[in-house]
Amino acid sequence: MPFRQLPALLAAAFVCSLAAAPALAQSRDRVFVASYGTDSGNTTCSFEHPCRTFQNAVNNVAAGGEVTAIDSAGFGQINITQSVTITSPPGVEAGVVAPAGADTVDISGSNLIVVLRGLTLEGNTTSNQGVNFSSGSGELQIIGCRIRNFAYNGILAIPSTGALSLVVKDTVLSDSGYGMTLFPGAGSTIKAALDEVTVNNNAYGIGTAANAAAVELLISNSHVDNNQNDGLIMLGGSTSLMSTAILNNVTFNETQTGIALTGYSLAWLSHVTATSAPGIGTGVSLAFSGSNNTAFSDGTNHLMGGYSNGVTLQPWGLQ
Amino acid sequence: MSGGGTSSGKPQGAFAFAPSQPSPRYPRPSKHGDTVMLLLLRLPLALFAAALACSFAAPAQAQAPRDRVFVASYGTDTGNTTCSFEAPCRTFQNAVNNVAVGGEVTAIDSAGFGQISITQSVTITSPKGVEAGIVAPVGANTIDINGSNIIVVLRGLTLEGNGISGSGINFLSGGGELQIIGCKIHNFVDEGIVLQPDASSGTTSVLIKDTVISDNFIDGISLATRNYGTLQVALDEVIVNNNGIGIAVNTAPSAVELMVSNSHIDNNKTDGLSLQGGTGALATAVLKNVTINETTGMALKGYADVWLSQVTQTTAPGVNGGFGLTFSGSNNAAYSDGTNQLMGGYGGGASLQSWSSQ
Repeated sequence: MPFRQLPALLAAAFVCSLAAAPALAQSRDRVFVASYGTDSGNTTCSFEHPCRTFQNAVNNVAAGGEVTAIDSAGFGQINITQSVTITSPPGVEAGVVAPAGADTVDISGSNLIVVLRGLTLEGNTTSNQGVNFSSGSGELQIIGCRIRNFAYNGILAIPSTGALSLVVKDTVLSDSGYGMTLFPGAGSTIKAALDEVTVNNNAYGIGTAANAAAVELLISNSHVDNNQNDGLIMLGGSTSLMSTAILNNVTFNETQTGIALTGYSLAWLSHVTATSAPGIGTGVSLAFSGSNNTAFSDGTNHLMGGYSNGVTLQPWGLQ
Repeated sequence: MSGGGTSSGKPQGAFAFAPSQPSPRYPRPSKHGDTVMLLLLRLPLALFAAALACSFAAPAQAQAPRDRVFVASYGTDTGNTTCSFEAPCRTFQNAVNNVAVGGEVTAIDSAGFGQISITQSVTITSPKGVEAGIVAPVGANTIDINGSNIIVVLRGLTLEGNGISGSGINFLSGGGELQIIGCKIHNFVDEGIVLQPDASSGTTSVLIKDTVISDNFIDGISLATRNYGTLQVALDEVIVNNNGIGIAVNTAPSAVELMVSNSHIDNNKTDGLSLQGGTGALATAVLKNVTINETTGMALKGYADVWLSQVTQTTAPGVNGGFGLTFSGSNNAAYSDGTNQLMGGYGGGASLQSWSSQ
């Protein structure tokens, strides 16, 4: 190489490195959104220069990183395909509204860990789902959220590959078609734990469908009230595809049936209060349909609406 | 994923709530948009041109209401129909007037934001760290709600009656839902919360959670119905303290169901819980893990049922002189599962029936 060309080459390399630098920047572990943020040309989403939408922040955060809202605003619908935590801290009201027929939060991918904290998801009766875990596997935590007014489901979990662990805590699911539906595809399973959850005034409270893969649902210290049809409706597929629910300290107060086992379903009840008021409720506390249903009770439950279709309770002994 | 549940590898059909099916409550998104497009396509060219010309005058026309609007101590209402975060409104009322149906009104900072009249679905939020309050004039209510099948959510608000305002929340809607979460409602000359839905359009659902209702002269919470609808009310983690009557239920002309859990109904001046029904309109209350500490804990005043589990009713010598449970009128019944402590005893011939556990 002739030496006289070297300065020009060095200069060119320097210019190229300047131009390429933004594209080579590593994703940050912690990014931010704000009402005054901007997405255009913004791939850092730093606290000093936050993004405007959750989607742009999610696109630019490192896998497993954190997206935090700085102030109150609507931050737009989100499509999540990698592990991430999205937080609206106390004092901030970060909301998501989706167009009619869309979901506010879509999640898909294998072995993801997704945490949603403090968000308000509003469906305006026309959006489909609040949170849609639409394929894949991993863990989903929904903590301190308000999810309401969706045409179909507040939360829909339909994992397709491997196990999904779902935690819902300190959250209100209201005014939707279903407050929550668990519906694993073949080859998947769902283990769901709900604590301090209010499921109020949906068409149906919670639905579990294990006709393709097993579901285990644990609900504690929660209220499933004022839903227009069943508070909890369960369906399994066979003796190896059971829908199982364990309830501890839960109230059911519905217009129709409190807990409906519609085939291949198991319910274990402790400190459950299911009410049925004359002049209001026309249903029963516990109903069976289909075959292979069993309900176990430890003697601490009040099932005021009684039973239908020859339901009997099996003893659940204490040790 | 739209609808969901029907792609390959997914279980299909067989279950009433398969998400591919429309919900039994909400119809699929309407086709009104298609109809509008067809009409537009059929417009004569001249009309279209006129519409286009008008569209240039758009700045004079209001934009579509926003889904999310804001109020702040430094906001202004004059000429402000957007209530954006950058240019917030000053009052809740102006924000409510300009938000889309079902939208959200959020307070940015702490201030008083004025009384509100609500006639459409809306959420009003004072986030943690913000103290958004409302004070109303003499005799007026701080929040009036009256609509058909609307969903109203009130979160984190402080409603102050100063001993002169009428009621904190006056809910006269029919059908729909009211959620009151994390609010403080005190010092009204009438009631803290009045729930009197015109329920001819269906069952009305009310959820009150993590809320303090105190120091109201007549009732902490008053429940009744109009026009033969029904009312279902769920209270959880609620404190009802130092009101005239804590919770008063008067069911005429139709049924009311009240469920109270993990709550405290204490220090009210007469009855903690007053239940009065009528023929064909039973007043029902289910209490689970509740404390009641009044002159009369629970007063059943005809056509009333109460179901008690883990209820502690206290009476201190020299402080409370009444009863734990009293009956008046006819057709009253109180059921106990053997986990309750009713220290004040019984009046008016009241007695407990067994409420068996399963």
